[in-house]
Amino acid sequence: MNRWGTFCGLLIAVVAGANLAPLAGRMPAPSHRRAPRSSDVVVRQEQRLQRVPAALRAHGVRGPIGYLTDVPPGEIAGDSAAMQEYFIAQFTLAPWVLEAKGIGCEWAIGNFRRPDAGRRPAGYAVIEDLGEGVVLLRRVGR
Amino acid sequence: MTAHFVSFGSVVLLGVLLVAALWPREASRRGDLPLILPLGILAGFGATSVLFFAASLLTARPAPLCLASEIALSAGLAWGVSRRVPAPSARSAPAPATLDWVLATVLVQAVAFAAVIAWRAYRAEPYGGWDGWAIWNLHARFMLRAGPAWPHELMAPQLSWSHPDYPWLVPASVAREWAWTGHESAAAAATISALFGAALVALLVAIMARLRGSAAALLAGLLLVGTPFFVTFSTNEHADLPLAAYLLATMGLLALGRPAALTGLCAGFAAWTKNEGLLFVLVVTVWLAWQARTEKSWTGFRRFVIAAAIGLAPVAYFKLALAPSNDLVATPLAPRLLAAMDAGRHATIFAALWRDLRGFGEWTWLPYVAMALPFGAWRARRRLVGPERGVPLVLGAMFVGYYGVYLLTPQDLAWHLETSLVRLLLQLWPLALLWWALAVLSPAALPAGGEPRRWTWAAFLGANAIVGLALVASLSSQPAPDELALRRRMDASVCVAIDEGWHGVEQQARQRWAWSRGAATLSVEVDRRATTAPTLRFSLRSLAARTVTIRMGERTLWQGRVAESYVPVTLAPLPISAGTATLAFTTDAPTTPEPGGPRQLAFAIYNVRID
Repeated sequence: MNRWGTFCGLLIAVVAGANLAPLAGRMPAPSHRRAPRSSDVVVRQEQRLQRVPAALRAHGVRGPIGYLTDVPPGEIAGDSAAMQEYFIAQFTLAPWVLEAKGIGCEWAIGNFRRPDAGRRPAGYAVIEDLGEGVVLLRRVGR
Repeated sequence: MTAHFVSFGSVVLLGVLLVAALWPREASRRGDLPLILPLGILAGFGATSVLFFAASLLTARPAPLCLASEIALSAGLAWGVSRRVPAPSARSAPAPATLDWVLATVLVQAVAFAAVIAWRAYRAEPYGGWDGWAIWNLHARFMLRAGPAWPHELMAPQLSWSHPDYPWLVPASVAREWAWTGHESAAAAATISALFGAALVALLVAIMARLRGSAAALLAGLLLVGTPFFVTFSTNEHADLPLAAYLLATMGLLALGRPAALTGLCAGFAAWTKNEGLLFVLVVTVWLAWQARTEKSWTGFRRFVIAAAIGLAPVAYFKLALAPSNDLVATPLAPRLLAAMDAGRHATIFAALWRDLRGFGEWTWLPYVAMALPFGAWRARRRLVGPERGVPLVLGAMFVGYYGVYLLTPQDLAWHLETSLVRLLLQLWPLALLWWALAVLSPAALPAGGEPRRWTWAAFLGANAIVGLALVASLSSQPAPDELALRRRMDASVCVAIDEGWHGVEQQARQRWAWSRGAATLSVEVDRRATTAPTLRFSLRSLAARTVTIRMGERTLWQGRVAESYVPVTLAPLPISAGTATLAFTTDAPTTPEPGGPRQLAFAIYNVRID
């Protein structure tokens, strides 16, 4: 058994090592550049939305706020990319609660990818352009 | 940084004092330090998260209140521990055999390697994987940012997708760290995640070393660290590894016959970590009750239940007073019971289980055969005795419980399995390794060594430190996916990366290259003031003959004809000592289509070297 046990022990060690080694290629080294552009979608979205909390505070916005994007509110749930952006926007802007259905809120955040498309959703006025397709909107009229 | 150390130090100190206070009087706390330290990390996060949770419900600035209560609790525990007469070390560990030294060396290097990979996983996703940011870190942000009204804010119907009914050990630990340090650092959340991963490995090794000797302990540790999914997940800021740690701690302490109070506390904290922990508490309690009834001894069981109730108290308060219903239990049960009769659902679950049991660890080489081989020597197999028998029973019951949850889930079954089964298997993997290591080797099965001399230990530590540092240095000098070359020296680090106009960096064996789409730019970064300007050497190649010009600003550094054969280029020395320079590549000819591919190619840069 001693030899068998030694063999088995060494085999397990080899298997563990052989499983770890490919990780050096599968999990690539992080960028060594001083200001690398993150490949993480959460970091990038957070950077896009970084000016929003200050704008919301400056305007004293409370309560649920609408979330408007290039995809019409009724279709966000069926668009996985749009849903992911909505979830990340919620993560970034907590504790403000984002209403993805958009309509009905006094204030709304516009998070648009397509230049100029949908920047002025019906019934809302742009209060502040926060850059990169992000706008703070306020409802006009009823 | 100092605030981080103080904060984590406070967690560990409080946890170690709590474990030491509950440790048996007759046991040597010093000799049991390898057990007490990882248990202290777990107990520390459990206790501090409960304190922060309570403080966050009382005040908008919970850090001072939490700090005061942590100091008071630590002081009380320290006073209690100091009054106890330390017991002498009762047993000395058997001398390590040659195989132990070899396995220990491999484990140390595997841990060093895994630490680098875990760091890379953190850098790739600083806020963690999907559940990391969309559930656990989101909840932490609400807890910290919304003031005492956070439960009300988080229960908004718009946030039902974030599972606001989930327990709070992980989010409260993250929010506590952010509150202490004053900023919401992603690194803090990842560090908590990594500490649970490290505690898990240390605990598995320490438990097995005590139960079966060092060879079994090291092999169990190697199998855990040699699970790629465990390594990349350890900084992923989910709650699955913390839960796995509490499951292992509970069952390990039971197998060791350690105090029921500490065992109960760990079980309670499992429920405070994830809803699956509630199932675990139920299963363990039933098993312990059955065992107490068989042995006609209820003292330990009572202690377990009281301690588990302490750990469960915040969960009970949260679930009963604050949380909305869980999505799995909020929908009517009758139609789901009917659906459970559907043979197709069972087939779907079994198919997913078969797929993920093979793949959840993301192994290149499945470890199961190597794990099964030692059973070939049947005489060396050891029967589980006493409380050890609970490990496979609880593991099996958890499996059955998870199976039942999938069977009754109101979610789309395939989606539910796809998004969660691998994590559930990872939760149970350390427990399965504990069972394997308990069953597979008896202490007498491996050759014993002589009493190690002090220099043996020194040589072991020294050699491992050198090899480990070399390994980490070698991994640290690997270029990132967009980098063509990297040189790291004491005086300056130089990095050459592709910017605009390239298709991306490709690599085969030692060749590393990038094809351009036409005009393109390279970025050269020198991170500290170098004593000498860097020199770049590389080759250029093109599918069709063309002239390529390389400029830095207005200055032309190189111009020449490039065709199918490699043309060596030396840019020496580059007029840059620190900072970033952009090398602009232009060409006089249009792109050509890639043979057999969709890309349009101009020229390629090969094997950049920095001298």
